[in-house]
Amino acid sequence: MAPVPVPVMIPVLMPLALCWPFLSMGVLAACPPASVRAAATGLSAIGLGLAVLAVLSRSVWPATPFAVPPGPLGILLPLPLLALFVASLSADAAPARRGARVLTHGLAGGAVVATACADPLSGAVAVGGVAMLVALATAVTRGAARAGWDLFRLSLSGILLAVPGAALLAASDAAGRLEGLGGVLLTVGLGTVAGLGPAAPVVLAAEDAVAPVALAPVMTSIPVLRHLAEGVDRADVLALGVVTLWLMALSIRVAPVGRRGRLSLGLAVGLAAVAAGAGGAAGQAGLAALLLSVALLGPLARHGEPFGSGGVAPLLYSPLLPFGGLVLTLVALCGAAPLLLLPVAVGVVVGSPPPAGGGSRTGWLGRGVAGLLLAGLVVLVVRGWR
Amino acid sequence: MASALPGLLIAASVVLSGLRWGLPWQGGLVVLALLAAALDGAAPVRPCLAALFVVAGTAPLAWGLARLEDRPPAPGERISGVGGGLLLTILAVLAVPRGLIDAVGRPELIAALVAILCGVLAAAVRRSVVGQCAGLAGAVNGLLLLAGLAGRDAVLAGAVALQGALLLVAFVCLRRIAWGREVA
Repeated sequence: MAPVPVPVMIPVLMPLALCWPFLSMGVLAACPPASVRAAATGLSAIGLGLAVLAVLSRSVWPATPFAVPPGPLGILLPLPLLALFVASLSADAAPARRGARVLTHGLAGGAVVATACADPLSGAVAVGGVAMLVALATAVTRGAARAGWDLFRLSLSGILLAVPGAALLAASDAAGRLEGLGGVLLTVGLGTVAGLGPAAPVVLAAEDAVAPVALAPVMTSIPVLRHLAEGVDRADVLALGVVTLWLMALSIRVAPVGRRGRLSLGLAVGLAAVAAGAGGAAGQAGLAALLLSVALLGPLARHGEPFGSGGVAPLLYSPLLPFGGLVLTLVALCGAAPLLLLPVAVGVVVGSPPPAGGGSRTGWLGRGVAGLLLAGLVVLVVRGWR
Repeated sequence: MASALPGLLIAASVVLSGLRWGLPWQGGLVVLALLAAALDGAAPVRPCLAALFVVAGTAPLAWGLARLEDRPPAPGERISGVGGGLLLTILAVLAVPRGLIDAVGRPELIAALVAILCGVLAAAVRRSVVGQCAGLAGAVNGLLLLAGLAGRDAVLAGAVALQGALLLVAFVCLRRIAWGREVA
């Protein structure tokens, strides 16, 4: 009897991994209120497991644009579900209301779908869906209509630039200046949706409003950087990353202690954009390491500060995964744009103030996340980035 | 070719976005473009249905916006809108090369790009929420024109979905801002 070949289940894995968060939304909506938290944790764990299996088997959904991203970028596919799982474990980060939990699962599902899109046009449309969901969630919250409108205006402007840009790039007769215009529109539009460049402070400020929006920077930056890392317009991505890095670094210096966690998250996203713009094997590995750190730390950056009062895992001072991502990014920059090495390094130093003394409030989840970040750096060192 | 004129009119109306009735004006232009496409094409049912959808969506939004007190654009906003709009128009004319695209498609592509860029610019520089909404509506209209030009049904459906989202959020946010539930 011939053994059952493993690839038989591979085509099923990708549809399952992509549809599971949306199925979870329905299950959570029908769940009795007493068991919503346990159900959310279990469902997000199953979704995470499915996505990891899909990545390991390099699964593809036939006849659709959905596939596991190539190379080290494949790690990005399960990251939204990882952030969702950590958020559902954390008592502080998990939203209290059932509707907010349902919405958070929808956000993670949209982010996974956008990450799995192979072409930038469908990716831009899917990222736009995620951004619209975030803006709608903010807009319907009592007391946040103005913030919701501003976020919506920003997101819609980004989509309206990104979609024509991707359409111009995909046009068969586009070449020369038209292709250049398409690349610039795609980069600027997607960067605006993800809160890169001048849009960064607006997105991070809107995060204060409601619980599901707290995960919005994580959920939008992962698919956006996945597409920008494969784009043709690397110089624009580099510029967006450096601008974001410096905006966040300068804000951290004057921000109150309670806000530094979120700002250092933006700093890590900016550095990830620099890594995506630098490209190459080291740049892609650095991007994956930084976004993995963002997915692990993002849910904890809202209320608690698991790694001391200086912000969430300062990039410079901790021997954890963000530090590995920083080193890889600098290595990639040496090859791609050595002139930017100094501004990026100085920006990181400025944005990583030393812990201000004080007792660090590290719960079991914070210790677990720290362990995972340490393990990630060990894997990075042992395996290398080539 | 029939949709190039409404496209340029949309762009011009966004550039000169001091109009009090900007949204019905742009909605009317899109309906005009769709009806022109229905007259040109062999299958007039879908453009007519789309025109009906635009009317059904724009009319209640225009009614809601009419209850808001629209602040006329400040001189700085007007200068930014007109100057930036003209600059973007020149940029779009330069970016779309003459040789690659046929003579019929080039003005339409330029019109759609200008409408999108000027709409986003108006949404960025206007301080009045009504002006921002009109700018975004103009940009969505430009995307509709671009999708119709490229013949991409998926992008057309996405643009219609964006129009729906714009209507929904504008209803929720602007209604609350308008009737004093929020501090503007």
